[in-house]
Amino acid sequence: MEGIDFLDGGFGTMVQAAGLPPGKDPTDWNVENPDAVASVHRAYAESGSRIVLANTFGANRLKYHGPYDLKELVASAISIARRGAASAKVALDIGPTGRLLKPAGDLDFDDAYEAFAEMVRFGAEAGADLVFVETMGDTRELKAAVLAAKLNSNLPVYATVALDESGKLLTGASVECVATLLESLGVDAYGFNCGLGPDRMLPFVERLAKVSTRPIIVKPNAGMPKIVDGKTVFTVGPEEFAKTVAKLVDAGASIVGGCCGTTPAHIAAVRDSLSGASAARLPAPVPRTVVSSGTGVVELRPHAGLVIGERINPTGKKLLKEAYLRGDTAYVLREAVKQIDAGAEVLDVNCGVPGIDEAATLERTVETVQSVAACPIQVDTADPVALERALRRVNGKPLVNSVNGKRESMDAVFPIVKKYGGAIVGLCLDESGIPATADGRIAIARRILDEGAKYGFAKSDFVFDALTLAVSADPQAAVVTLETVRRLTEELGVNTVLGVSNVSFGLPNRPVLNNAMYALAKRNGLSSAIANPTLIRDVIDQAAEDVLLARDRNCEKWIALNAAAQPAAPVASAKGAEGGAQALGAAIRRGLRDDAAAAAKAMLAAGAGAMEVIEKGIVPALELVGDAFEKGTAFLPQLLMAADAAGDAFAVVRRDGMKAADGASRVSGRRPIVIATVKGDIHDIGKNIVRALLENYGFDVIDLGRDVAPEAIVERAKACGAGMVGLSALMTTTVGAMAETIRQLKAAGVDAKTFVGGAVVTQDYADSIGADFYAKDAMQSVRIAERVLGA
Amino acid sequence: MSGACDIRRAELEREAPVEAKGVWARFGGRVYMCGTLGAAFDAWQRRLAALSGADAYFSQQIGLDAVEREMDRLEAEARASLAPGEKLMPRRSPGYGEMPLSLSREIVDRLEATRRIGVAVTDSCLLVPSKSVTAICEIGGCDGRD
Repeated sequence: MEGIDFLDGGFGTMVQAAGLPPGKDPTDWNVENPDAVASVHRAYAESGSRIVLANTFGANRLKYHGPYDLKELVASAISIARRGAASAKVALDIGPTGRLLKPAGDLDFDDAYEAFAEMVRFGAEAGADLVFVETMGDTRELKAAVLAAKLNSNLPVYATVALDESGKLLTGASVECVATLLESLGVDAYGFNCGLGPDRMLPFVERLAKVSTRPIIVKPNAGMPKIVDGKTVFTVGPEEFAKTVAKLVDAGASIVGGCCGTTPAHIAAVRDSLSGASAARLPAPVPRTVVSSGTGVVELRPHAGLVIGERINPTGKKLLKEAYLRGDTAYVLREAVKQIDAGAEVLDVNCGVPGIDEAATLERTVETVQSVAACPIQVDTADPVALERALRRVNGKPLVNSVNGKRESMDAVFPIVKKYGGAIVGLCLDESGIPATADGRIAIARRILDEGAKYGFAKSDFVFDALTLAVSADPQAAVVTLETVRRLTEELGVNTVLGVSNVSFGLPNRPVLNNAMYALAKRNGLSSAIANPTLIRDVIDQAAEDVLLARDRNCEKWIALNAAAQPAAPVASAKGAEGGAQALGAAIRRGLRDDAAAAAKAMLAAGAGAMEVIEKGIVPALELVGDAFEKGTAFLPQLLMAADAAGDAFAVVRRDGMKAADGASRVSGRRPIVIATVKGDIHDIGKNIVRALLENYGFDVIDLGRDVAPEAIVERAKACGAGMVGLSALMTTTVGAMAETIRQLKAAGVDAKTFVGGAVVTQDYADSIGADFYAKDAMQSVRIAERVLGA
Repeated sequence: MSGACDIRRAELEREAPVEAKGVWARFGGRVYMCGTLGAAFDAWQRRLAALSGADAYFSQQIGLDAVEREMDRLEAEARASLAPGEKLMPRRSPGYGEMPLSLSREIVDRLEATRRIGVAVTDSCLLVPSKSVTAICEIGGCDGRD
């Protein structure tokens, strides 16, 4: 049995057989019936278990609601296990809280972390030999538990997750996703428990063995559970169980035990069947640079040029800066979704706005982005405090942008990434600046690799940025960058990244130059590019290539060529602005988004001003549909589709037609409306519909999201000078928070009218809590806003 | 206009990540049930809502229909398991009529729905993921022992 370690089997199964009453928390038996608990441990030790899990599965403050002190329970559980299984190591067993973490549920990451951290401190103090995190179904909770174990003790940490039959966690994480996270957090061994019987676990162990560098744990159930007359029943007997577990060992598992339905007889059968066997000798996994989200894994490979979306970075983006300053989550959500839809495989998140609390904003923005993004995140900050807070919250293994060759940077960044996990972007610059040659940049990369190795980071943990400088300032800039990319790939064998668009700074027709730079860099080995995914393409324009390869002296040909290619002034169409307004109105009324945007564009091209498009095309159409909704001749989906179409037309006007003095009033001349779903309520679809409608009717909306504390609503409403505050609540259990929010708004003297709505809210209730208005539906919110703020 | 709505709803129905899961069990004279569309549906809905109010609305309808279908499936399974002479009474969910919302927690706990299908109850007694339903059916014609 060389290299194979034996765990125990089912605990609940055994204490139920020993007389634990239905519905009774087994944790209480650490105090009430310690001999029975010790007997279970003894039976497992005698059957061959070399590690037993103490009776602490549910001994965290979020799950345990019994009469005993948690510290006493944990200490007692460790002591009982030690007494019962003197020959075995005793693990502090950490199970889930039974709650779902945000954004899927309402539990904050830090609350989960604190509950686990407390357990770990109790367990370590009581003399546990290791920490065993098990039955996790959510990568966020898994991360909270593992971090708590690692940061509050020096004990070895084992972790197992419960897969469903498709090989995923309940929150959607794949086997590889779990592996990526746990490898980056540095657990000592990991694998699967519960959920499946040993036969169904086999393909997932095979997959895990291809990527895991740590010992693989299996703790399967005795088959699939069935509930018969209210009782859970497992049907696989010891011999059959042992035979299949042997196959799991052949596939790469080396720490084996059982979960629900298994008994000391199962463990003894496993021990006997593996007598004389040794752990499988499988080839070591090929080192890969991988990052992950809560549900997916992305691998960086040379020449792949995967796109890291750059749009959630406020540099040069006034609207995003404003959204950060106002705490508006909707803008960030939209940018995230648009980039994913355009093909971004990773999203960069940067909150570097002067005067902002960067750490708090980055933490919040990371949470916001990962609530809609299935792709991994690149945390982008130069502030170590912000980096640490954001990395803690990332669901998965992020890219960390960045470290550089300065001693100060490496000393600050490496310990943080070591603690929380991540693949590190290394910038090829140091105290002397950015070297002018590829030799200089490669030397810095080597130095970063050497220093990183002292923290245990391998080459595959890095992605190097060769740095892109503007060719308008230095004709050789792109040549040096491309050579650096090639040598990083070929000589150092590392993955690379570039912020492509810097290359075209100061020149006309930048997208074409950016595309050419991206394409050339890919051919030189580029693994990833930080770029706008809606624009970047692998296309080389000959003239652009001449600029980038320093064949176009001072970019003269490029400038001449592109100066001549400026778009011509709009020519009035034969149809004229009047016909255009009709077409736009018809498209909006029919809810045709593309047609509405095209019609708005056509009106502008025909010479119409922005206000003309709004006043003659958009507003009358919205009024018609709104009136029809109120008369009952149109219904909510029609109203919303019309509003979406109007929103797209507005976007065209804002982008193409809005001049400083023309037409800004409809959007910016009124005080903003702050909206939120109240504290304790995580249902926000109704609130989102209200937001969409208000925005598409031209109101300035600041959406604070869901489950928002009264204090936060008061603070934002005051800070932005809100003219109105809209509150949504779905359930009877959360309307109390609505009343409290209105109370606090009044107490703080916020000069804003309040309007409330939601499934259980009525006019009477709105009156009783002092709300200024009750909106029975989304359209009425618009009418109220028109009354209060002006149409 | 309704044509555009129908088309868009149909598009979203094809795209929706509906992976309904459910558990039920009989406890004496009652059947407890819990069904969910899981976290993936919520994430999809959040994505849609970021860009479109109409899509948010359609996804809401799609989700409600899908989770009701799952509950219907669970109810049918439970009905098929009844002994001769027993009858499943109408399905009722916590939060409606006389049944308190807080009963959701008991249903989730007794079915082990958090571990088995990922449904949890918040401090406010809301079910998460959001497209989740708990329900109870009384069984007529049985002796009612738990």
